[in-house]
Amino acid sequence: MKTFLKIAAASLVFGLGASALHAADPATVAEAQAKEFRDFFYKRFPDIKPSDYIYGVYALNEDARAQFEAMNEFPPYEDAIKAGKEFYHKPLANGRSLKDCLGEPKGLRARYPFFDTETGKVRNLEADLIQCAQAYGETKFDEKSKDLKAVSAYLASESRGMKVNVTIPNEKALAAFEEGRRIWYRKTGQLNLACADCHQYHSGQRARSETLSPGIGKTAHFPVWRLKDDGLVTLNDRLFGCVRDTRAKPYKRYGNEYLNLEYFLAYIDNGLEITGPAVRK
Amino acid sequence: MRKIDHILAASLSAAALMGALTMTASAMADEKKEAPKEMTGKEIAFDRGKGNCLSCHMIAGGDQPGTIGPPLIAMKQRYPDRKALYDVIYDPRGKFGPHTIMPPIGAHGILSKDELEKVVDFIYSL
Ligand code: HEC
Ligand code: HEC
Repeated sequence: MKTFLKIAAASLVFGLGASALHAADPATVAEAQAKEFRDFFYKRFPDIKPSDYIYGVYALNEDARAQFEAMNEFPPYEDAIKAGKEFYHKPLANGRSLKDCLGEPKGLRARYPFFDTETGKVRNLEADLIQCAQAYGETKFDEKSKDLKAVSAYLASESRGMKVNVTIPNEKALAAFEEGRRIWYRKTGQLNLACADCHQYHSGQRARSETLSPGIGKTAHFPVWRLKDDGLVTLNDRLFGCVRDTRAKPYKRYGNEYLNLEYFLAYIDNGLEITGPAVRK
Repeated sequence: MRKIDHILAASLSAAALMGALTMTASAMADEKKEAPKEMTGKEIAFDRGKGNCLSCHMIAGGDQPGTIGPPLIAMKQRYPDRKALYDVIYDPRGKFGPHTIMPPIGAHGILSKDELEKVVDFIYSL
């Protein structure tokens, strides 16, 4: 009798625990927030097909799309992809290659960003590349190096056509996602601007001649070849630039702020096609 | 837009015209980050490193204005009290709430008091 009660009590507690957990399931919470975010844009831009958000600012109208297609006729990033491929496979200072560190290139980009349950942090592809290369004795391979951007372009090209599939495995991952979301809405800098000011509440409008792209489709096409810079720009470069433009003291390169922001934005992009590298003005 | 430019050009005084010309020169110098010493209210309003009002507002005489904020026209009619116009530019959060995209031009020291007065004079003339 006593044991029976004990078991009953234990299963009652267990049952309650499980249902409480279920109600606050991190993946469900994130999905609800993502839905609200995406719905904002679906409503604001009823003419944009959800899958077309990968085109960024060029999804907004046909003129822009025509301009985009012209820009893509002779892809300016082909040489960079080639150089990146070579770099990824060649022996580095210690005789080992990036491939030895990170594995098969096919589909690698599509697994990033992800929440690393061991370190409790978001992992970003370029940050991992830097870490590998430096551990292998390539001290010049840092966030500014051309080689990094070339490898990033190569790996993106090796995941083309795959879909963004970011998961929220546990509570800590949800906390990272929510921190990214907070940064999206947080006003910073002397100009007192949030990402949401430009890319949500005023998306589709122009700052001088620059049309502001929507908040969906911010990640799946990176790195981009920027015609203005005649070179490759990683997602971290772009986020860094947008924060700097608010005249805020930019967060540390590949610091938690950017990682969490990327995690949030990439989650929003779930289901979109990976198309990097892409061309941008 | 053309018409407004036209009317504006016609009513420009010689001094203002000089200002408009130096504006072009200063916009070029600005690329090299050497702001000239005495900028006019208009120059301050247009300069990307200063007011950069043009990035969001259509303003007569400015090229490629943004569409984020309302066009700045007929300001005297809309703000009979100059002080109210000054206040809205000094800190737009007062009138529009904390979520406005317009930067707190005075409250965050984006422009000095002197620069702000000049910009208000210029905006008030529109
Ligand atoms: C003052 C306005 C402004 C703010 C604030 C701003 N951005 Fe941007 N951002 C731009 C402009 C202009 C562009 C270039 C045109 C475009 O693609 O939207 C851009 C481009 C981007 C791109 C590249 C889009 C693409 O398709 O290649 C990303 C990603 C981005 N911003 C993210 C952010 C994030 C995240 C924040 C906040 C940390 C932010 N931006 C804050 C103005 C802004
Ligand atoms: C980043 C965008 C942005 C910049 C830069 C900006 N504004 Fe604004 N401004 C706005 C918006 C948007 C509004 C409308 C209020 C709102 O929607 O929150 C506004 C409102 C105003 C108003 C009130 C208009 C009315 O109808 O009552 C004035 C005056 C004004 N701005 C002047 C300026 C001046 C002068 C500058 C530069 C020194 C400037 N703005 C810079 C976005 C901007």
